[in-house]
Amino acid sequence: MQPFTAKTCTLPVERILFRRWLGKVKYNKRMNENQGGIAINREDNWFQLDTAANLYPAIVSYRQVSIFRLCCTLTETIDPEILQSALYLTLQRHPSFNVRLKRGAFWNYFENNTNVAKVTEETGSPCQLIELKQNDDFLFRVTWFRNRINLEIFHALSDGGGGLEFLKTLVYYYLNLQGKCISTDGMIRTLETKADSEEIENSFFRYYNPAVNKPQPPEEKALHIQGKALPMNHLRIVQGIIPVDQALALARSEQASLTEYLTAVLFKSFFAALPADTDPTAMVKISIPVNLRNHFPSRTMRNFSFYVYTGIRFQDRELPLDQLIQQVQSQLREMARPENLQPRINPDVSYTQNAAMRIVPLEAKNKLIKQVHRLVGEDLFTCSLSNLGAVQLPESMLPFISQFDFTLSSSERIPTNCSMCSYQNTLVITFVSNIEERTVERTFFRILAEQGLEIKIDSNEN
Amino acid sequence: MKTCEACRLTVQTAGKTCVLCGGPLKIQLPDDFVPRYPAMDSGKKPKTKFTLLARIFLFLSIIAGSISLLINVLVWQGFAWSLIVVGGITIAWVLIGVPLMENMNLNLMLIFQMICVQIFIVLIDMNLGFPGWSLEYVYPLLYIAIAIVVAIFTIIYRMAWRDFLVTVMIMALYGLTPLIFISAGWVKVLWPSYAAILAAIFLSFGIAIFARDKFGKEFNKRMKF
Repeated sequence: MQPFTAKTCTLPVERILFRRWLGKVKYNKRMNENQGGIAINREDNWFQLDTAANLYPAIVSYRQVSIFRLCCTLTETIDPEILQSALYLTLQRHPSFNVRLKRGAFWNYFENNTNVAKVTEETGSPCQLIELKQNDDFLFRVTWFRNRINLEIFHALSDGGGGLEFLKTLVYYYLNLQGKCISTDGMIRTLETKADSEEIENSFFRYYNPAVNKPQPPEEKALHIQGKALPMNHLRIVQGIIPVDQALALARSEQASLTEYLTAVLFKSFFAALPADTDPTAMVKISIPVNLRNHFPSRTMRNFSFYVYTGIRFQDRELPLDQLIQQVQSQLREMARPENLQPRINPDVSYTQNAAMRIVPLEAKNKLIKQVHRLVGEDLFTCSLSNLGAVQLPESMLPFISQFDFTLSSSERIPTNCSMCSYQNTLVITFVSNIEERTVERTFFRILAEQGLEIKIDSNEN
Repeated sequence: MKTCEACRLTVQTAGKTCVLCGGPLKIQLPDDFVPRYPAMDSGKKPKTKFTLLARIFLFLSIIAGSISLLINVLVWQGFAWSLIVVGGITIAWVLIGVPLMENMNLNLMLIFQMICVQIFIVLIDMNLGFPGWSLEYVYPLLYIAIAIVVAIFTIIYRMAWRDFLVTVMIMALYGLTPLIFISAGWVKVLWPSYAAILAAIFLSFGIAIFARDKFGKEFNKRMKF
C-alpha cells in the first residue's frame, strides 16, 4: 500500500469548495431538524450534570479553574475560517458540548446553547478561567496558534476521554474541509454516525450497583509543595518531548507500565522539592485519574473517570527508583482491580440520590460542596498524573498531524500538575505550574535524561 | 538547537537560559526557533469590575451620605431628611451600578430595580408622615410600566424565552401585592391598584394562552430535584 503523504493527499480546488459548501448545507440541515435518536439540539432540550460534574461549578474560581487542555499540532499553519466551519460541524455531532450551564432550584443543568461558538487566536497564558458571558456561555474554548489547535474544556462538561473524541472530530472536519483525502476508518465520530443517547448518558448511573458495598478506608492527608505564585494567575507549561519507544523500553526494563515508571520518577521529584525538615511520616500522594471507559464499556462523552491515589512516605525518599516503582506498582494494581473499582462509583452516585441531599437548595448545596472540597478534596493528594494514553487516528490523517498534547490546570493547593499523552512515536509529558519554583520539573526530566532518554524541552516561558 | 549541559537536555526556547534550571544554554546549531506559545503577557489583562472611577464615586457617595447625616443630626428640626439623601444615593447606585456590574438577565434586572425604587419611595412617604401617595399611585403605576416593558422584551427576544418566561411569572405574582394594601386599608385611591392587579392577571393569561407548554417544561427543569 502506498503511504499517505501530505502532497498526494490534497484534492483539487473545485472539490474543496464543493466540500465546504456541502459542509454548510449539512450544518443548516442539522440546525433545522433533530439529531438522530436524540433531540438535544432543540431549543427546549436539557439534561442534568453527570455525577462527577456537580463538583466543578461549586468550586470554580480564578485560582481553581478546573480546566484541561487538549492540543493538536498540524503540519501546516491553521486557517481560522476553516477551523470555524469545522467547529460548527463538530458541535452538531457532539451536542453535549453545545450547551450552557443553568442554575435550577436544586441542581445545575445544561440546556442547548443558541449562541454560536467562535474560534479565536490564542493569546496569553493557557488554561485561564472561562468567563461564560465573554465566551457566549460555552463551557469550552477553541483557539489556535500557528499550526496548533487548542481545545480547553471546563471539567463539568467532559473528561479527557470525551474531550479527545471532540478534538478528533474537530481535526477530522478541519482536514476534510481543507480538502485532504481522509477517511474515518470507524475511528472518528462524524455526522455520518449519528449521536445516540448513550453518548450523553451519565455512565456513573448505569454502573451504579448498591448491592456491591465495600467500606472505603479513610484517605490519609498528603504533603503539599509551596512556592511564590506567578503573577496575574499565569500558568507555566514545561513539556518534555520523548520518543515513545525509548520511554517504553525504559519502563519495561523495570517490568513496569509507563504510568507506573513515571509516577515513581514523579515521587522522586516531589521528594526533592520538599524541604528537608518535612515530617518523615507524612506522605507524598499522587492522584491518577482512571478512565472508567476502559473498565466499564461506555461511549459517553461526559465525565466517566475517577481518581486513585498512590502514596509514599517522606522517610522513604532515599529508596532507589526500582523499589519506588515496585511500591507504586503494587498500590496501583490493587486499586485498579474491578472488584475495587465498583465500590468507588457507588458513594459518588448515592450522594446525588440521597433524598436529604436532593432537597437542599442549590446555593446551600454549592456552599456545602465547596467546604467539603476545601477540607478534604485537595488535601488528599500532592499532584495529579493524568495519562491520556496513545491517541489513535485513521492512517489517512497521520501525515497532517505532528503532535498531540494534554495539559491540566493547577490550583492554589496543588500548584504543579503533570499530564501526558502520546501520538505515533512522540510522548509529550506536560507540567503545568502556577509557582516560580521549578524543582519538580527539573528533577523529573533530569532523572529521565540520566536514564538515557532523548528529551526535548519546550515551554511557554523563557 | 540549544542544549543545557547541567540538565543534559535539548531546550526549545528563544531565550539564552534553560527553562528548568536557569543555567546558560549552549547553541549547537544555527537557531531556527519558532515559538510554539504566545508570549505570556500577550493576552488581555483581567478586567477588574470595580474600576478607579467607580471607587471614586463610591468614596464620594459615602462622604456625601455621612455629611448629610451629620448635619441632619446637628441641626435637628424633627425631620430625618438625610435619610432621603442616603436613600437617593443608594437608589442611584442600584439604577446605574447594577446594569454595569451584574450579568443579570434584562427582565430580572428591571424587576430588581423596580422593587428597590418602590421600597425607597415608600420609605420617603413614611418619613413624611405617610400621606399614602407612594402606595396609592407610585407603587402600582410603576409596576404597570415595568410589566409592559417586561412583556415587550419577552415578545421581542423570543429566542431567550427560556430566560424571560420565569421573570414574567414573577411579575404576574408580584402584581397581586396591591391586594394586600387594599385589604389592609392602606390605600384610599383604589383605581391604580386595581389597574396593577388587572395587568398581573393579563400577564398570567398571556402565559397560560401563549406559553403553557414552554412554561411547564421550564418549570420542570428548574425545579428538578
